[in-house]
Amino acid sequence: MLERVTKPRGSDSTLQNPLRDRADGRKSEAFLELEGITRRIGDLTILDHVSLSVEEGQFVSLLGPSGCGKTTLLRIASGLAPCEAGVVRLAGADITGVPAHRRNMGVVFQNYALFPHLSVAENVAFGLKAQRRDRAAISSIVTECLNMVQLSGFADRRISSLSGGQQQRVAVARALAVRPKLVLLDEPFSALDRKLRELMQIELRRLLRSVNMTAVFVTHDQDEALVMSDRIAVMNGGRIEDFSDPASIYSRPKSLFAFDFVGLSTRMAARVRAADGEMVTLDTNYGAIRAKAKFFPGTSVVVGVRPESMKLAADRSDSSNEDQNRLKLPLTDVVFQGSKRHLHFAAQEADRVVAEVNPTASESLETGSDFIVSWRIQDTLVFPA
Amino acid sequence: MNPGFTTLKSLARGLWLALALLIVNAPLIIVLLVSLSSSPIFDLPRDGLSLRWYEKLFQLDSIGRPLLTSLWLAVSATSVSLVLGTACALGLSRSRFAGRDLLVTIVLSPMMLPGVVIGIALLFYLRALGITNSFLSLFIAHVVITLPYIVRITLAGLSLFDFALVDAARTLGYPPVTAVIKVLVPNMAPSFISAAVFAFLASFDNYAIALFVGDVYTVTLPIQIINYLSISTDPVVAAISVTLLLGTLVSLLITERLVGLQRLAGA
Repeated sequence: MLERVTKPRGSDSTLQNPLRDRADGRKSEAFLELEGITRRIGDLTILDHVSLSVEEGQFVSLLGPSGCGKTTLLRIASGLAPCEAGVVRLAGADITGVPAHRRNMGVVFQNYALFPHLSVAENVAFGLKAQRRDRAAISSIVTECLNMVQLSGFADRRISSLSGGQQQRVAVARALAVRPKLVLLDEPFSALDRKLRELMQIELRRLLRSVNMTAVFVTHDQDEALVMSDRIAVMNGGRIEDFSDPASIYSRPKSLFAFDFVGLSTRMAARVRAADGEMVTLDTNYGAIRAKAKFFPGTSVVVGVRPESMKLAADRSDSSNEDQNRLKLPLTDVVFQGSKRHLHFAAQEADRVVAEVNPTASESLETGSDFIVSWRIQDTLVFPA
Repeated sequence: MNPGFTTLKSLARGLWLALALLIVNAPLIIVLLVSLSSSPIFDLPRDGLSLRWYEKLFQLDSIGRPLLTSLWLAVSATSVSLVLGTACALGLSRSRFAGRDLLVTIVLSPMMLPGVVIGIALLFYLRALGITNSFLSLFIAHVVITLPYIVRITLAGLSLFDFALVDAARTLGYPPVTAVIKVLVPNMAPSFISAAVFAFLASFDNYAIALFVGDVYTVTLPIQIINYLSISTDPVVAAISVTLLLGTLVSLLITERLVGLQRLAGA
C-alpha cells in the first residue's frame, strides 16, 4: 500500500474545499449532494460508499462501463431506488426518505418511457396534471415546452409516429415541464444513431444551459461525457474513481481505470529502477524512461501516455534529450481516422503503444520499419499496477 | 413462374381453406338450420322454414331463471377473477423466484385439467369446507375456472408492458398506486378486456363443473339446456344455441373492434 501515497500530479484539486471560490467570487455550495451512498442486493454490493456533489447549474456525468452502478446511483438520487446507507441532500435539505413523487426531479429515461396511450401534448402535460394546475396554465406551459424542443407542430401526434430524436425531445420537454429542481438523464442518447446523437448532445446542452438547469447524466460513452459535462465522475465497480473536469480527467486521470476508460492510449507495464526526489526512472520492455512521480524502487507500475502527446522523432538517431522520453519501436499499423491518424507500434503482452499524427505528415509511414517515438517527461502518467 | 400454375395454386389453396372452414363450422350451420325448421322434432327443415321455435323460446318459463343465474355467475366470477388474476400476474411477472414457473403452471392448470376432474374435486372440497350454498359453491368454482384465462392473458400483456412508464409517472409527481392506475391500467386495457371476454365465455358455457357443484335450485343455462333435451325433442334447444351463438358473435365483434383479434388471442 505504500506506493499508494503517490498520486499523479494535479490530484491536489480533489482536496479542495467543496465551498471553493468560484470565478465570480460567490461561494458555491453543493446543490445535489450524495454522501456515502451504499446499495447492496443480497451479497452483491452495487454501490460502495459513493459520495458526489453537484453544484447548481452544473452538468455532471456519471461515466463508466455497464454494471458499475451509475444507473443505480441515478435511481437513488431520483428516489426510485432505495439505498442501504448514505444521505441524499438537495439544496441543503436531507431528502433521503422523500419518495420519488415529492422530489420534483425531472428524469429522462433510457428508452424515454413515453406514455404510448397519450399524445405528445398529453405526455408533456402529465406531470402538470399531478400538480393540479388549471387547464389554461397547463396548455400554455405545454405549448412553451414543445416550442422549446422545436416540436410545436407535433402536439396531437401519437408517440409511435415520432422518430427516435423526436421522442427524445418529448422526453426532455416532459421532464422540464414540471419545472424540476434538477434533471437526471439515464443514457439519453443511447438509442440514437451517431450523427443524430452528436447533434442532440449540443442541442440539449444549449437548452439546459438556457434554463440554467442542473443536470446529472449517466453514460458509458466517453465522448458524450467529454462533450456534455462540466464535471465527470468516472465510476468502476460501485465506486467513483475520479471526479474532475473533462480536461483534467483526460490529461491527468487519477486512476489507471479512468485513464484507460477515456480514450485509446499508450499503456506499458514498467518497474521502477530508481527514484530521485520528484523523478523516477522506469524500465519498460522497450527501454528506460523517466517520469515525474514518487514511487519506491522495485514497484510495478503502468505507464500511460495520451496519443497526441506522442511524436515521431524527426531524426531517427537515438540522441537523448533532457525533457523527452524516447523509445524505438517497429510500426505495425496505421489507422486513418479522418482528421488524424493513429500509429500502432509493436508492443508486448498487455502493452499498447499508440501515437497520433497529422494525416498530412509527408513522412513515409512504412509498417515494419523502426521509428523513434518521443514524448515529454511531464506527459508521462504513472499508475500503480 | 408460369402464371397459369400460380392461379391454379391459389385456387387450390382457396378450396382447401373453404373445406377447412366448412368442417369447422358445419355443426353451427346445422344447428342454425334446425332452429329454423318447421318440423316438431329435432331435424333439418324439410317442409319449409319457420321462426316458431324462437317464439316458443321466448315464451318458455324454464329458460329465464337459468339464463339469469348463468349471467350473474359469469359477471361476478369474471369480476373477482379479474382483480385476483391481475394481482397474481403482476406478482408473477415482476419477481423471479425459485418455483415461479411451477406456480404459473399450477395457476393455469384448471384450464388444462378435464372439467370432470375439477368438478369432482371441488364437490368434495366445498363439502369438506362446509359450504352448502349452491350459488356460493358455483361462484367459487367459476372463479377457479376463469382465473387461468385472466392470468394467462394478463401475463402476456404485462410481458409487453414497460414498467419504466410507472417510474416515469412517479418522477412526474404521482404516488406509486396512482402511477400504476394512471399508466398501467390504460396501457393494459386491451389485455383486460380480452381476458374478461374469455373468462366470461368460459364461465357462461361451463357444463361439467356446474353439473357437480350446482343443485336443483341453482341451475345454470347449459344444465337447463341438457335437462330440456332430455324431456323434449323439439328444436327449441337449437334456437337457444343460435341465440347464444349470436350473443357470443356480437361480443367478440365488439371486442375485436376495441382491442383487435391478435390481442384477443392473448398473443
